[in-house]
Amino acid sequence: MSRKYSSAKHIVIFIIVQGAWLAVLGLWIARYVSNHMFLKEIDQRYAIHIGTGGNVAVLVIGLALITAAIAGMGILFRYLNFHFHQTRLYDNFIASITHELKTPLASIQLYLETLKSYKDVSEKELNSFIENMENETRRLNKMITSILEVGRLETSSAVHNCQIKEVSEIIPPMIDDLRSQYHLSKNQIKLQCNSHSQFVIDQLAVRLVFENLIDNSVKYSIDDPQIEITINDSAKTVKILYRDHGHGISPMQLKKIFRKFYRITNGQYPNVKGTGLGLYLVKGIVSAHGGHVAVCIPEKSTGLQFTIEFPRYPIHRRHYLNRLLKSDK
Amino acid sequence: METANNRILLVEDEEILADGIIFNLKKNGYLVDWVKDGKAALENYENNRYDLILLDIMIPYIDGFEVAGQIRKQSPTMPILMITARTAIKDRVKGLEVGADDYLTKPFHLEELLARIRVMIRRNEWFRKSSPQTDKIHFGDNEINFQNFSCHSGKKSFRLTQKEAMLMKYLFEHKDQIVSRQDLLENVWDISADIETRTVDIFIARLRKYFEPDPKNPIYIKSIRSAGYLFTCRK
Repeated sequence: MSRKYSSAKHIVIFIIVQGAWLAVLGLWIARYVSNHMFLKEIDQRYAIHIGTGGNVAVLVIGLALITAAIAGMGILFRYLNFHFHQTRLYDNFIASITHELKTPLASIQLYLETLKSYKDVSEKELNSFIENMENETRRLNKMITSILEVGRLETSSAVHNCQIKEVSEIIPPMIDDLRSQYHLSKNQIKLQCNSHSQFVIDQLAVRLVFENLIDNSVKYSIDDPQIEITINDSAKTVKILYRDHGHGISPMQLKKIFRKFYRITNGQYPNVKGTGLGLYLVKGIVSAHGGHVAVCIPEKSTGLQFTIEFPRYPIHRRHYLNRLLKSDK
Repeated sequence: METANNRILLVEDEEILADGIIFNLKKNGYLVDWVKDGKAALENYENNRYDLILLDIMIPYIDGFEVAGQIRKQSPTMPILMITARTAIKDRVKGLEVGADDYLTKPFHLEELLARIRVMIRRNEWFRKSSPQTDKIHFGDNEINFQNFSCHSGKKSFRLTQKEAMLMKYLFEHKDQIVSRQDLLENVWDISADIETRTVDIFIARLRKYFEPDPKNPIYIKSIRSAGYLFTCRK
């Protein structure tokens, strides 16, 4: 039986149990009221004083107990609901990851077998095949790296190989590299780096942060993506503002955007494929650096704005950063 | 060349994979139209004539299952080969139930893809080119329309699957002749597929259930011991 039917079965059982509870409650109240009326009638008819105060107390305690039981069932239902939701997300993740791993593999295999089958492939075609295989290999590599990074995040070792670096020496070349990876121009990713600070970073992990952000901007833009990255120093942190001009998302979706496996399904972006790990990784990596990431919908504009803050070295969170540096020795 | 003028509609949103498939199909003499989503697939299908649909499942707007279902409603005979990363049995079953004729999982071998396409087109051509007088046949209280697979048996109306129709048509075209299970496998099924002769018997049993007054004592589709089957229109 499929999971959908299995979930429906649990919900039906829950509703039946709740119905049974309410029926018991109704019967109990009806019995109490009829007893009360009966005693009152005897009291009036025979002028015997029968105290009813105790019965009121029993009624109140009984109602309180039943209310508590119903509340307990409610909590159980919420928990079950959460569990089903997580299972559904996980199933979607498995379907997505299967697709994301097998499709590039299928392409690479197809091109290799093509080259093996035909000896008359022109140089132009050969170059195009090799370029396609390289692209698919990169895609596979990115996917496998993401999965491994999530594994590291969950074993508290998301960052490693941390070094003290100048912001201005690290971020601009990293963005240049990503521009070329995504075939974007300097106008499409505008970078303004005003920082003169140092920070402690794992370069590969931070590259993954920008790669995931740019990847989302590219995937969720119907036209050419427009990205602006501004880096400034604040008193204690290096503050990176990352902004794109895509169609943006609803405030409801915004709340869930960093959750593991969470993916936005929207008719405007029918072609978006992914695993729901990208922004979960972004948050995890930034946090592991002692930093903070937030997202908002910019006023009077479309798209999203991410604010990423890394502690400045050696001004802010020095003990934490020293521990990061030591942990790699 | 066997594949000359055969036109294939490729529905695949992965550009790199699609490029590789198109290259190989063209090298093998096929004409290829490529679309990236379900909407475009249905539009193209409406406006063009194709010999085969090569269909991915996870495509934008309308998924491959829905596309296959809609195409199947319009054309019971259009060969549809699903090509997807989904390997779960329930996905395969769903794909075949909604109307796909075959299912290939990624990553696949080029030779296997080309062989399946070749076989599916050949089978469909055989089905199409069969003599026009077999578009509608009558025997006893039964009537079969091979254009839309609709059937009447006495007061009952129902529809055959493509495979049942192909089998019935083959038997009709060889009426009053003994056809072996091997003949049926070669001409109705792809002999290279994982089909056992038992499958033929299962399909024959189904046809008898549809058309014979008493399936246990068949009068139209008779078994000939150690030889195969004999179809006759006479009681």
